[in-house]
Amino acid sequence: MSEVFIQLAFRTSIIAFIVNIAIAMYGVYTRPSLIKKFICLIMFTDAINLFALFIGFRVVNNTYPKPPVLIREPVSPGELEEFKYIAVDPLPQALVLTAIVISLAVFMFVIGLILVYYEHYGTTSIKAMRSGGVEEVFE
Amino acid sequence: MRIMEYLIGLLPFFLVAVSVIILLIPILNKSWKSQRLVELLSLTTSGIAVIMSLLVLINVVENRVVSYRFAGFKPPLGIVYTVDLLSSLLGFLSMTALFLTVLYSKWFIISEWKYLYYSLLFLLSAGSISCFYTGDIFNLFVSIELLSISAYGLVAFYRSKPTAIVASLRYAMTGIVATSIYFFAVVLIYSAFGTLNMADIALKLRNPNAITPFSQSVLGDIVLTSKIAFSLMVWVFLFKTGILPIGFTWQPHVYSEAPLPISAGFTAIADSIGIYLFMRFFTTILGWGVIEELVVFRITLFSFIQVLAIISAFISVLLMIVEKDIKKLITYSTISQFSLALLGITLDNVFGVVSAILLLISNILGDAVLFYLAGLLIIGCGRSINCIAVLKNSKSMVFSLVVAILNLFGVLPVTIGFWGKALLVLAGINKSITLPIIVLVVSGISAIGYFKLLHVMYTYKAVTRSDQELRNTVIPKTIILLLSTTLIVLGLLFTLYEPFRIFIINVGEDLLGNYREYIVKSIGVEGLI
Repeated sequence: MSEVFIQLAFRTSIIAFIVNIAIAMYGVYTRPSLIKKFICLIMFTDAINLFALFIGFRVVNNTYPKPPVLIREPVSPGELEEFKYIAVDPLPQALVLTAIVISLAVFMFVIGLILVYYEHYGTTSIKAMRSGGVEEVFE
Repeated sequence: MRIMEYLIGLLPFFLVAVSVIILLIPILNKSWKSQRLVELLSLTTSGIAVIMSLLVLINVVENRVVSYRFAGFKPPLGIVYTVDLLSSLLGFLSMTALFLTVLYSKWFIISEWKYLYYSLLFLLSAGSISCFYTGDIFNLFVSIELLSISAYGLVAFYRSKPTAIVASLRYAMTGIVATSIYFFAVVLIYSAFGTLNMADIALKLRNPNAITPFSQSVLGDIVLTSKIAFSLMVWVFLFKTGILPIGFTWQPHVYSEAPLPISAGFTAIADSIGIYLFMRFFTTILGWGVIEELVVFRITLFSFIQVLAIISAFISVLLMIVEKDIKKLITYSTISQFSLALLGITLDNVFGVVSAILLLISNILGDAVLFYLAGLLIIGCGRSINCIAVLKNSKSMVFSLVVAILNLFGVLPVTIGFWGKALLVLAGINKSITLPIIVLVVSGISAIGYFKLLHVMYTYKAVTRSDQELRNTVIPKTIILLLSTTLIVLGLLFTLYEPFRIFIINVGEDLLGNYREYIVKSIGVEGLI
């Protein structure tokens, strides 16, 4: 039962990842609103970050993964061996944490740029830039 | 010896520290003197950075591959900087470009926000040098992000210009997608290889049974993962280089809207990283000697990139002919040169890689000359290529323009650009007769664009505006003359001085064939390969 549930959860996550990426790419390249493009960019990076977290999880012999922390000391060699196979790899989490921090800086900068764009054109639509003037767009 | 190793780790840290100090100066002292202090500090520290990168280069020439372990952690557990001939050479060029950019900016940039400009420039250089030196694919991601965010900021430096904001937005949005894809590829590689160290990945692609300290053996299907991850990385590197299809969406806009010294420095500091990463990933990592299952994939990938490079070269030279804006014209010239360099890498032989390195050097120097000349005419007249007529009164500037054009066109053996194209033709002949023909046709079409500049200069009349900056043009003219002379000196050295020729060829040979030394010196364990 648990194996079926884990497989289902895994497949759903992968499908969700692909769908999120597709929607985000569609939004970034087709939506005229810079705010919508921005939201899609966040979706895109978050989908990848979530995928990166999955990399650390391993399912061995139908056992659930454990946090990568040893609470008790001393640890017997058997427990250490089990820990080695079952514990979640913490490195992808560290990578994602770094990526999130970097994304935060980049996104703050982009939102600043969008604000300056709004000051120039009076709208956040890229159609204003193409027409060379101010244009109200409700999308 | 140890000091030299520390120098590798110290250089990016030094540049970041300078960037922070520059930012603090106007906060501590708001008088006009702080502007002068920022300029002086930038000039001095960029000079020190050039010396540091030169010392690293000299050390690498002696030892071939030098690595520096952060905090003393042994790789692949810790982050390592692994510097070989190519990375040290390009690192030196990048730092030289930083110094010239700072020097030119002293004359060109008039703004009360100068300290922000210099601070971002030093951050950009820190990201650049870190990209060249790093031996870790995730550290590379962080370096690319550092480079990118400072580049977005520099492009939007003239925030009162809507076009600059739009260019920065284009660059930032495409850049975020590209770097996220790179991060995805990094994660995929980690899932299969269990490591982020470039040398460790290179080792396991050649010997999947190798057991390295800490990362141990491979964890998953390295063949399928490599195919997906390296294909994704190609798009990221194409974005960074500005080559078709993603590059065209940002590069012409970014180059034309960024402050001019930045556009000139971008080629060496930021865009050459794309070509460098192509070489690093597809020669050192996924290079000669990889497992049989990936040999066909590598050849197919190279054929695909070859087609893209050829299309990109043709489109860029055609756009160059019709372009009226001097900055955009130089941008299309850059794209065409980078496309040819990429073509050289995909030929997968020593001459091909050496031609790519030479084209990179000639483009970095040639582009800088053209951009710095463009600075004179933008201040003196405007951005239209018709304004180039203002240069004809100065014989030294006409000489520099002719040298830069001949170098980029690659017609005379007295310039380094000639040897880049000559070796590309030689490398192409070994593969197919079509490739040399394509190179010659692309060069021929580009000649129309280049010589259009000379034709316009002598047929048009342009009135020079009276601008305060034009009263003293010693700095820009000296830099331009120095660079154009360097182009000739390098060309003559390559033609006449054998040790220099051997050194450049060694860079290519080392990159393709000396992956063992890179792996051994980076991981620090012998006998695995």
